[in-house]
Amino acid sequence: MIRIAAMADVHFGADAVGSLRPHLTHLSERADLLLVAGDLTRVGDPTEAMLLLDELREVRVPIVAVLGNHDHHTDRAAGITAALRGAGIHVLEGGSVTLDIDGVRVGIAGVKGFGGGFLGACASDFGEPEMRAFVGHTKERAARLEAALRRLECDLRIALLHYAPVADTLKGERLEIYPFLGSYLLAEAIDRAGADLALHGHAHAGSEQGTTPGGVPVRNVAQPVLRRTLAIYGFDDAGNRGPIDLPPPPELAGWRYLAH
Amino acid sequence: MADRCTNPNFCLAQHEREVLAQDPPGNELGGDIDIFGESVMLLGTRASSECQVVAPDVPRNLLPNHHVRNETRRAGLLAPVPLEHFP
Repeated sequence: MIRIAAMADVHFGADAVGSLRPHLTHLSERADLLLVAGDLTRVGDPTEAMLLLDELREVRVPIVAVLGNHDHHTDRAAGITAALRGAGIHVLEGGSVTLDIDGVRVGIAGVKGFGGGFLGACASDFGEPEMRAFVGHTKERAARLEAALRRLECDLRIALLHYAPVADTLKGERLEIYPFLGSYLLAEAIDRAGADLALHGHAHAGSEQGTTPGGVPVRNVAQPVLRRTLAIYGFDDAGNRGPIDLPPPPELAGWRYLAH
Repeated sequence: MADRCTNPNFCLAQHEREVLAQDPPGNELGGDIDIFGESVMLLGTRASSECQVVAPDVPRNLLPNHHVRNETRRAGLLAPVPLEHFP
């Protein structure tokens, strides 16, 4: 069995030193790899990332991460990425990594993602440059995720995001802020490329379990949702779910949206 | 509860949230704020006890004439970790 530990929204800062380490020291006895779905730091300061790395130093399994919105707050995401990569952590932003775990090829495609909303209540790629930039960013990240998933040649395929791909895992959040918590475009990308599991964070008041329209399990692993340090998901049989036959996105996407 | 659109405290609370979000010691996790009359209530979870203690500083500074109630909880991360099994 492949055991995948996952957590998100650690929001590590100076006052949290020592709080995480006891829960991770013996992780290798319970899991084969650790996935971190963004918001590793509190305000995106690389020194916070260094403190977190010190907390993770006893972890003996591969670690794969994507950054979250907090990690971008002070425009020093590159410094955070460099610090994490320097410690051997795979940091993905539209890329992928394949790890061999006991002969099973586990592929992880990762992207931060972004907001925009879900069917029936979406922002539209229309109008002011700021609005087009907002939706355009999500479209670009979704396209990167799809491409990264498609590139993977593996037995078990995982999509790692910070923003939510489905509304299921936002239940508990106020409906008004759903468009700032994720986008259906991410789920479309996952379904088109195929995956066995999608993980995300960001929605602290959401729910753990959901499913994409194509049937891919989605888990919100934000620590406030889990109410524990991490979740562990076990796969008996590496399924390598194939792409799901979805129609391509229409050239004119206005029909998708309620409002412009 | 008053309609949010007609309650001036709703805008005030929103501005408070913005300031809290910018405050490194107090901004996480999942914090929320409600203002009822001259009472400010801080809700949600904080990552550490230190974070929990400093959380009221921002509303106290911004709204010195309000009574600040700190109803935040410390995020509990000690629960056992079950394994969810995918066949």
